[in-house]
Amino acid sequence: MNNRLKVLRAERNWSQAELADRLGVSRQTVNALETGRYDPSLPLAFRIARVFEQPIESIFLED
Amino acid sequence: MPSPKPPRIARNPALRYVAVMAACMVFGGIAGAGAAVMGELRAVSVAMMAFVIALGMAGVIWMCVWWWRGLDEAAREAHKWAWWWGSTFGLAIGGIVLLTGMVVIDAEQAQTAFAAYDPVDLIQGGVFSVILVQTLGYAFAWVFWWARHR
Repeated sequence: MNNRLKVLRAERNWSQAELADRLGVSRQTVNALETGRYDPSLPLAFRIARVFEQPIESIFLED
Repeated sequence: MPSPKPPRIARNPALRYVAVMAACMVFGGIAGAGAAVMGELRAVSVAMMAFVIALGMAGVIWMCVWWWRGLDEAAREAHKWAWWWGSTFGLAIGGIVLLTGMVVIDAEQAQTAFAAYDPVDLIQGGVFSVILVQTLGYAFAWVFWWARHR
């Protein structure tokens, strides 16, 4: 699954570590999410949507 | 809603240390008294050993639960994947090596090679070799998962 995490994070000038802190996950997990090689669970996807104040479907896109 | 305050003993490391020491003294006292009253009975020493091992295992499990709760979902996924695929492949590859080794070494050679060892040591060696190949497989699989998800 593709996502716009990297773009959204860059728009806010957040580092991966900062985003990881806000989401309550490790920096490695943020990296895995951004590269699209790890798909988050629904609870984490909702947390991501809340942090970026955007609906889930505008952050995560089907292949 | 504010979270409930943890008990005083959980908040104070010194108090926790004293509590653990006190518990050890009480358990030690009970074990000593039991040994003094019942003598060196095999059943009693086996029961004590089982109790101590159970206590140790409970401690290890408690630490594992505490550690697991601190992991995020990707880290948990990596461990679950490594547990299944790493252990399975480790056991499969280890099995090929061990079973092939049994075919290569004939019975007479094996008897000569292992004659010096106690049968209990050989059984323990077998158990540890299974644990070793599974652990190696687990470690490789864990590294592989993170390398693939970078």
